[in-house]
Amino acid sequence: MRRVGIIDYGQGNIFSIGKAIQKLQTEFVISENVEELSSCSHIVLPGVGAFPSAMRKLKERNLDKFIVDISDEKPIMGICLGAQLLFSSSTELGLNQGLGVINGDVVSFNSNNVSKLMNVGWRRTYVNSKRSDLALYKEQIDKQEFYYVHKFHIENCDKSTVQYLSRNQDYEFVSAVEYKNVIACQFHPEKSREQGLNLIHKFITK
Amino acid sequence: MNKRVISKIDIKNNTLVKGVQLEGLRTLGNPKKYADYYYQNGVDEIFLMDVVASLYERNNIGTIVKDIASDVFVPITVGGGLRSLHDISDMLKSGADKTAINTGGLKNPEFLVNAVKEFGSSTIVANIEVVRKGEGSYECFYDNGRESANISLRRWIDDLISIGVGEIILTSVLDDGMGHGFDENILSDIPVNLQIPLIVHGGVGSLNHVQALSKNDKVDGFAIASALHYSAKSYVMENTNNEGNYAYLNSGRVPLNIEPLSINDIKDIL
Repeated sequence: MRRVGIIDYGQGNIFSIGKAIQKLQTEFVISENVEELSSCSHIVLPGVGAFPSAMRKLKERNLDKFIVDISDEKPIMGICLGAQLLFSSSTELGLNQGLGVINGDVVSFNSNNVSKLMNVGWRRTYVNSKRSDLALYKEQIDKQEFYYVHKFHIENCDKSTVQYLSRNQDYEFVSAVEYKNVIACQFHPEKSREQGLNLIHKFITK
Repeated sequence: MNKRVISKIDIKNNTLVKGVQLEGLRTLGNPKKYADYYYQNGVDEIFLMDVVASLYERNNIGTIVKDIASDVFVPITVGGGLRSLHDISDMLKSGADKTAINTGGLKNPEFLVNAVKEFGSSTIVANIEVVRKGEGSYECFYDNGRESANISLRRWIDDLISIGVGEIILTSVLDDGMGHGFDENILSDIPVNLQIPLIVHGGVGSLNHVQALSKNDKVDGFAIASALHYSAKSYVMENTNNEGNYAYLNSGRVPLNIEPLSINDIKDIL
């Protein structure tokens, strides 16, 4: 049965994601419990906040192992910090290891490239032409405007992935990554109007 | 990069209200109807403010946030009287994406420090209520523009940057509801290299007032109340079930200096 498990590790706007899934008339559960989440068909890893405390909270609940274990079987959507956690490492508040589901690093915007380190607002998002023929979500993401609010972004991402790009001022960065069952979005689909709901709908029905 | 258009919705006793210089509130009806209208018409974000919460030290805006968040899929910022980590987490649980803090932070900066640590910069927005005190000097106020915190705008912004808030909404108290434009002189107190977004609020009564700041690099967005509310009026009145107080809207009056603006018209010049 289709049922979305939203991972609750005590951080972020998880209830907004619930509202979006509710709008799509799909059953969902917000939970920190591995057993309950195991019974779900799809997993959403949300997250707002700092990378190290999020990793610590995942570990305390054995959710780190759970996510790595299911990443080959179930569709996973990582959102914002939840997307970043899926990568190998982050430099937020010191160098920290991530879940390593996808090879890549998370780094801060740099004042040599942008004047505003916090990238906030609606940005057009494009599929990277390399490997775009393999993209599952091209129709939902390519050329659409999504809502971003973040200071850190993905870099040195595994070349075998499908990538989407966006810009903070003139600086281009990786804003979404598809890899096996995983879609990692730096932007917030749950807060990006109809185009965001379309993307979540595609993820749920996949 | 397009500057954002944010609809500011002030709430008192479950009703949308709008004052002048944050005082003398007029009742305009059901906040949910306004939020729906703005969402359908392309607003970038919604900013909900409980205007009496901080004064009375109570919070009851949660149910309204829940209601609005069920149908509005753009970011929702909620403010008014938030003074503990528990208050913030309550708002997030109701469907808020960001929380705006003024009084609680001025009275207790340590609270802001902890809020940023717990929820991350992107969840914590500083709402600054600024009042001009003599030539070129601006001071921060709290309790919805009633009390001076005896701290200059420049110094408070420096503090907020080192605390690590994710965004600043700058409310010009004396311009609020006046419809004569935002006091641009305030922006000279904003550092040129501010690394977080700045939203200006207060005074927009015509497209010219938006135009005047549309090329200003310091401004990342506009929070607008009256000028949008009076454009939403007919939708709200058609979609009401007679709940709420619509006496003022029924009177057909629009405050002096306020030209009702559509979100589209504003976006066209940004």
